[in-house]
Amino acid sequence: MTSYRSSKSRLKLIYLDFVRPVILSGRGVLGIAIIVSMIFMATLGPELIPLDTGVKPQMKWCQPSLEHPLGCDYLGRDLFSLVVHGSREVFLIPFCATLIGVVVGLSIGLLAGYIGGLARRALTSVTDTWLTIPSFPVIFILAYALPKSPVSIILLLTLFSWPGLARAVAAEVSSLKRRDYIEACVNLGLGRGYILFREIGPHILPFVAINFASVFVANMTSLIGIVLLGVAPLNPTNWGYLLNQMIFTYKGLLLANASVVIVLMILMLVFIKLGVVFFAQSLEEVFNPRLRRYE
Amino acid sequence: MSEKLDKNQKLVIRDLRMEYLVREGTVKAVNGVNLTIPEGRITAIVGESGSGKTSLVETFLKILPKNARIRSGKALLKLSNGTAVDLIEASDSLMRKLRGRVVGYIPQGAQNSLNPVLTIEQHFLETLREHGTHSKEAIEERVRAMLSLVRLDPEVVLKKYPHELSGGMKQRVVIALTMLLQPELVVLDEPTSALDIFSQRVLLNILYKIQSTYKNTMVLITHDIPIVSELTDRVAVLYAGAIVESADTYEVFKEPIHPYTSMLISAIPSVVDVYLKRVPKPVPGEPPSLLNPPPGCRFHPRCPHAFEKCRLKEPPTVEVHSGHFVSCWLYAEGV
Amino acid sequence: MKRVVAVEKVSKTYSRGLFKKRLISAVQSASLEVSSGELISIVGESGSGKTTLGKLMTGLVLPSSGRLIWRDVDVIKNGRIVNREFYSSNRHRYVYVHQDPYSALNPSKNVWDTLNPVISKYKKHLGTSDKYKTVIELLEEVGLVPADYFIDKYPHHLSGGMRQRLALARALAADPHFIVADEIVSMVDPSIRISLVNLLKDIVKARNISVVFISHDLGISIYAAENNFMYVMLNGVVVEYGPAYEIAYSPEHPYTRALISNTSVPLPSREKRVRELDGVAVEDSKPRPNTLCPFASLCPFVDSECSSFELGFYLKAGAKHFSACLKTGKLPKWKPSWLQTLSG
Repeated sequence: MTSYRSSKSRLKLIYLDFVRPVILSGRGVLGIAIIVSMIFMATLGPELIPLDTGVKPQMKWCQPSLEHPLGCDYLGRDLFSLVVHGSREVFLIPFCATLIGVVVGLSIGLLAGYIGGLARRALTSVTDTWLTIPSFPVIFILAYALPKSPVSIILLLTLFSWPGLARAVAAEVSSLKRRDYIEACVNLGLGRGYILFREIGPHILPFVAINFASVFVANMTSLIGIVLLGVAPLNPTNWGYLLNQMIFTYKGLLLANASVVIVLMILMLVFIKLGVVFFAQSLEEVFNPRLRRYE
Repeated sequence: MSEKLDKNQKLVIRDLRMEYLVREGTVKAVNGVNLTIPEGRITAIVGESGSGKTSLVETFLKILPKNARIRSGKALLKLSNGTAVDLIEASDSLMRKLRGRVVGYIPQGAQNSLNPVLTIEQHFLETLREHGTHSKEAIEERVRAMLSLVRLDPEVVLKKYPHELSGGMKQRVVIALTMLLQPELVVLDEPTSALDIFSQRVLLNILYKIQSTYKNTMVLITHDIPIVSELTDRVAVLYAGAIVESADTYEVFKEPIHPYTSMLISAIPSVVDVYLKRVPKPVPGEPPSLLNPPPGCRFHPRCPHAFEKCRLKEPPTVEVHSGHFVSCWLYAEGV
Repeated sequence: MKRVVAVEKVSKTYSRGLFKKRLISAVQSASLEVSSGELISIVGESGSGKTTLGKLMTGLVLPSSGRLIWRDVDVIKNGRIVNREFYSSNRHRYVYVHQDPYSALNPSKNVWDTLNPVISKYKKHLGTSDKYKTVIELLEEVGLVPADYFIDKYPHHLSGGMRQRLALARALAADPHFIVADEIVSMVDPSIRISLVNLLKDIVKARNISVVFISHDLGISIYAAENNFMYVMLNGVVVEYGPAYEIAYSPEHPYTRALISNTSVPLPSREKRVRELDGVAVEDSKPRPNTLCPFASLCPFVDSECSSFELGFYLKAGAKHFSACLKTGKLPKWKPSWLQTLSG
């Protein structure tokens, strides 16, 4: 957006075109709130909330209260502090994997889609085959086999993060390039780079945003999943590890008050996922002015 | 409700108002329509985009989408036994009984409403069986009669599937299917818009023939001015959800009274212009928004004769001379 | 009067089908030329090849055979671009404007973002405030006023007619020599169609460029071309061409005659209004000869002579008036069937 209007400053334009649509959408607000909390939790959280390592058998499975918002775990530790400290790993690993996957997937998708023909067909065959492989079992097995370091987990998750987006982007670019307005741009001599990134690109961004959100959420689930199932023991504050202990080692689901704590933790996961997805959906209104309600 | 209609009236619409709820607000699509459709004649409702013509039809046929609200008004339809029924008030089951047998409707793009997996013959059979005719001879006879009415050769058409026929032929099949039940009132929405000139001419002839054979009441919704003057007996001009002029077709084309009508007619170019040394002139401005219509008379922003009153109040409908109604402050002074 | 665009015997054939390939001819051996300061019309029903011809002239589609000449420079010969450099650096001067104003504009770009990239590309030296002035001027030229009101509007804020004006502004931003306006009024309200054609006429006069106006409506095509050339197309073939007014008054080709005669005309007469189909032989058991003439199956005058019909071959019907019909000059005198009914 260029500041062609002397009456409106650049800042105001950014506000109108990006910030306002998100704010005005209910989902956007909720989503932002959750994401901001997540970032806060992962960055400043561990500094602000001390890790409760003390074993207090009398506090075992204590119920949620103001002092212990998520209750206590099997050792009587404050679960909330454990969650906050574990959030760094639980957010960072999937985030990195998703970021790399999206960048790779987007690049390949854009090129293959725009070039079309053989390139696109080759990409589609590769991604289609890849996508039929059930990701979680494979991740599970490979996690077992590979060195148990965060880096290898990130690479492992990346492996399954890029094909979906690449395929979707290639298909979308392929269809968009046939639009009349793209033909007009070609006619008017506007360059391929301009067309790909400035005309077609904005239409792809909603895909990317939503894909990023769902892949992030899937990666987070996979990570917690493989740790939960005991295949990749990383940090002991990793939520998957906590759940693993709670459910398998300490058989928490057989106890009523323990189940409350476990369920609460799972609900928290669901809530986080929803928040991320809602934010992505609100971004649709930023990129597609037609959806904006207030104009 | 046993209100009685004049023997010349088939459908009388009084102060009909309907709006759609959309995210930006309410679209006042039908805004106080007053209209009388005479019996046994072909009447055209002329309007451009944003005039609300399809909305008007959907309103009195009660085929509105979920976000539509009828605010007020009546649509009195005279039945063959002489009584009148208010379509707006009518229940869904009554409407279902009326649709098909009493009121026929051919929507825009009707050629696409044919079932792609049935042959034309099967289409006819289905319709006839559903409405009571079962004997083989009776069916065959009716089908042939209808197809000849629309100038289609049964040998050529019956065994074919819809995709094997041209657009014009499909259009005629739909008309034949609609006429099978011989409805008293037939409503056609833009029947000529997708057709080439030759198919249009044939269609006009078919419609004329149908009307003169069955003496039913036809309502033609269109923005194609020239076919209106050829085919219809009466014209009602719709602008921004209200009728601005309605009269005998000949009178309207000879001497249009409402500024919009006269400017609209003058804005249509035709090959005839070369012979008559006539130059078309566009109507200034843009079609009105039904979301935020202009206050007062909705045509005033584009009207060269607009004065103060036009901006403030909507003009009433006045009968300027017998059967000729206009809604314009130039003719409603003192009312 | 410089010759801006010329096509010579261009054809475009598509092959369809997976196993048994069918050849579909969109355009068959059409020749056409336009000079600067001229607005000409191409009229034909859908499927007549007029859109393909429009795209051929602007280099958006490559012909299967024939020549494309831009300002006396051979651009395409026999289906191949012979002067790639000239083509790449000049194609923005030969602009095609689409029929559908809804799909021809990027919905996520407002007026400024639609026009700015084109201006920036071809007037690199301009600073932002000069570009702004240029945009305002363009908007005023196409009648989108007050210009500063429109500048931040998105396509979904604009009516069909306004969008077409914006599409024209975008075309003009590239400083074109030639514009093809393909059915730009078909999706616009009848009451304002003429104003778009008038705009085209103003643009032609003010900039001394050439415009090809494509439509299926005979009336508006004649209004647009006036005494300039009008080309009548049927099934990919140009069947008649010449000054539009002359064709309107004395059409030579049976198809053109049928088109004119069967138009609906406003009749200020009360007599039987609905005329029968004229000049088209429909339910006929007459044997049709094997011929390439596109009107043979419907022509009331067809006979065995017509088998010698040749594509691209025309007979003279007037000083600048030509018809593809072999019987040109030998057909009975013609009057449109509605002539009687016009009173006054």
